[in-house]
Amino acid sequence: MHQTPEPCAMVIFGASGDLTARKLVPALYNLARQHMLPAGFSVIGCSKTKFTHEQFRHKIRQAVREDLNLPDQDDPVLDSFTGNIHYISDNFGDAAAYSQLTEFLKQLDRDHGTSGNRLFYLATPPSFFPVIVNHLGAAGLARPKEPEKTWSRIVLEKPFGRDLKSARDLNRVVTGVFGEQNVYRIDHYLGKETVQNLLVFRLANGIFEPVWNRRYIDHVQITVAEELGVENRASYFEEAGLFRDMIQSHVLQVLSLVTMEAPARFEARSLRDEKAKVMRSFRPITLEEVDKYAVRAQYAAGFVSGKNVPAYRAEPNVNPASATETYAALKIFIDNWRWADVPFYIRSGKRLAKRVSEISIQFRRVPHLLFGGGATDAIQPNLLSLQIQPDEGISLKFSAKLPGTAMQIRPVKMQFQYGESFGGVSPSAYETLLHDCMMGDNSLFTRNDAVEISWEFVDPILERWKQDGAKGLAFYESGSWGPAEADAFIEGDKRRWQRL
Amino acid sequence: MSQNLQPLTLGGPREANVAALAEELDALWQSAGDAEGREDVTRACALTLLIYTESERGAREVSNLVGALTLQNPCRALILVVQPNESPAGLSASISAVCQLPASGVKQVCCEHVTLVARGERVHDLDKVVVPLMVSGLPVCLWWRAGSPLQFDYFGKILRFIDRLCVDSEWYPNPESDLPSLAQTIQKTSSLAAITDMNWARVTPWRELAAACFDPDGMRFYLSQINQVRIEYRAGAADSPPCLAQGLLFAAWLAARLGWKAAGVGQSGLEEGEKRNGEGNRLLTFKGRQGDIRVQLVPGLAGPRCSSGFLTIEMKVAGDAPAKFTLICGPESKSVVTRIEIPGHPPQESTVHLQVFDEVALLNEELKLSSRDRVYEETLAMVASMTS
Repeated sequence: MHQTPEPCAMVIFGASGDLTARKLVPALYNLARQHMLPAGFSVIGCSKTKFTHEQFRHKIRQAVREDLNLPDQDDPVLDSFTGNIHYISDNFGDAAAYSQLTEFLKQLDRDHGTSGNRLFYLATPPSFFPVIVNHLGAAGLARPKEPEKTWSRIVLEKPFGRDLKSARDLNRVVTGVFGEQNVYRIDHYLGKETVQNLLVFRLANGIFEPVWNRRYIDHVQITVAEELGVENRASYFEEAGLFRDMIQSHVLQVLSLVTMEAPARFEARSLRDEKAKVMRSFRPITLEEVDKYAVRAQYAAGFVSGKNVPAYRAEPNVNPASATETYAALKIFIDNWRWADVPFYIRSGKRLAKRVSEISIQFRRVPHLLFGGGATDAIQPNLLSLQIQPDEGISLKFSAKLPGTAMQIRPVKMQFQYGESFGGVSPSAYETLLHDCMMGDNSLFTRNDAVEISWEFVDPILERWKQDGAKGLAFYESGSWGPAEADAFIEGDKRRWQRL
Repeated sequence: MSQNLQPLTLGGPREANVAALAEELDALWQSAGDAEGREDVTRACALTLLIYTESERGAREVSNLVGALTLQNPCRALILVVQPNESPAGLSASISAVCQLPASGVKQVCCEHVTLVARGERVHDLDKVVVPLMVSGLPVCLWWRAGSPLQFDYFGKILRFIDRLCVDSEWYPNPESDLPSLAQTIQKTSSLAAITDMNWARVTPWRELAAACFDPDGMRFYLSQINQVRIEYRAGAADSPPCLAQGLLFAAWLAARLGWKAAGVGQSGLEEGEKRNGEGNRLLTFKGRQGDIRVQLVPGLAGPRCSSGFLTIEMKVAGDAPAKFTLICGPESKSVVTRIEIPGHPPQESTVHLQVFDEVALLNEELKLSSRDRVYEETLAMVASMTS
């Protein structure tokens, strides 16, 4: 039986944007269909764009229908859900707007029984975070009058800063107003089934954890590849670059889940303590060492998904001389007893051959190959693959003897797929994470110390690339698996990128 | 073969969007699973098989072979019809599923089958469509079903992602230049894919039988004394190319294993009658530890009596201790007579079964291998040295 959160109201800042229409509201609607939203649950969309309540509801209805591919027919659940959606159009840079918001929330408490519980969701550009947070604090919306009975939580969308200094500044503001326990830094990757299952896989099965260390694992690869280019996010992407957009946030978090020690208990504090602990063990990369441990590149024109696509520099709103990376590869070492000298290769990029996110754990070869001749050549190391998208699942590659009198060996794959094994549809990452926010479970959200540790680790890399500008930037053909420099980078260690 | 191993195409091939082939394949399996009576369809795959052809006709032939091939090697088969000189330029695709007819109560095992046609300039984009369709974590084999050499300009990028390149030198129009080119390709791609030759698999039973002649006690002595070899290979006919490549491979294998050094090739030294017999006559000369060795390659008309690439192979020791070891394609098309003649001993003769593989069986044999075939590579290097 599902747990249903306490009654509450959710306030979305930046509600007229894509994130609300494409991710948040469809996720909330799915929760509503599964009776996982509290009675009287209400949403207030806030943005500068002018909408009436009804216009906004209409937009939301359309977005939900499109996103979830719903038939165009009466849907009482959708009607009831959107009936509790409201909209306030104002300038949320001004204090006055918060008086109106406060009054509206009180009215919802009276009319819908939302009980004074608030969930604030910042779906705005990060530059607005401090302004909104400070105003919420000043309006008395961040700290409930009866904290033992009611709650106020805030959800921040990444990026959490653009370097260590800005991340610390942001943390200081947000935790100062809300308190760290009420801050939910959302990373939708961490809400995906496979990512959550990582811990179950490691810690609920007796056979994996004993081999989850330097003695048995040769190396680990984490790939986050997209076919899409920069799309309509050029302005943001020009500033952020791929390294901030994907690696600093998603990938390092995933890496910490792969490599952390077993927590004492499956609860937020223990989990987050272990994640932070392993991240502190990432071997620092100095400015001078960046070329040895990292590769950056940008996509050139090419052919993807059956069509010709332009180079990054030819995309609308991109500087024709841009040095922004759209691909990055990185080698990380973790200096602790479990992982000493095991390389972790990370690659992520846009306009790559296919959309796929996968963690590949390659085990060491057996110590003695006793099969003769060609059979020995054919033996490949075991490979455990955790597929995060598009098809969430787990596979294990191992060697098997081909039927027949000769000793011929071939790699085969044992595959588990969520869609096939459990049937039904897994909840979207946002469903999981929004439900967790309402439940007050911040296990899957990033804590302030983890954010700062990750920035501390990546800052020298970003600084060096900033200093170098276009010098040293490699290029790769759109639709390929990245630049030749990235192949040489891993082949220099006598390893190859996994074929995904 | 039992009835449950007959291939069955699950619906006809259907046109597919090149931009979304992975999704189209998922939809194909979804519809296969939803279809009445097909609840137990299992999608099986042990490798990705890329098949290069140069014509639609070739694709149709391959399409028929793939069904049989997947019985032993469940795979995702991608048939690539590559036509760089055709217009208009474009890429098109069709997909289908091939299944084994299930026995009662057993899950139906099916494989997927994609045909990609690339014309004109679009051949250069083939890698962008093919590479994402390779099944992760499993071996990838490229079957080059054509006589043309590997096209590095548009297959070089695909080569980086394959484990095995399988050619068939029987298709080569000029084996004496094409086999050395293949040797160069092997050198060029040694760090990438292992290369094997289906024609080598045709030669293998003859190699085994030739080697077996020297297994009995006392015979090994003669191996180092061989100084004359005569290989009669099947001449070309209306429906089949000449088997000169097999002859060259056999001669080169013998030379490479016995440590001979190539000394020359030509027609000088052949009997007048042999010179008149046709263009396929070759005289190869080698230097061995015991002196000079002559290897004659002679085309012969096989007729219906032998469907193998060889009619006879004679290995002779001339001199003080003469001996003759002969392999003759038997009166039945699937047997070989082996004869050992040594003065002072009665001739020893035996007839053994000769397995003649069809194209599917040959490829199945090749797909069992997953490492480099060093003996083949050394043989090919010897062909290059013999013909240079």
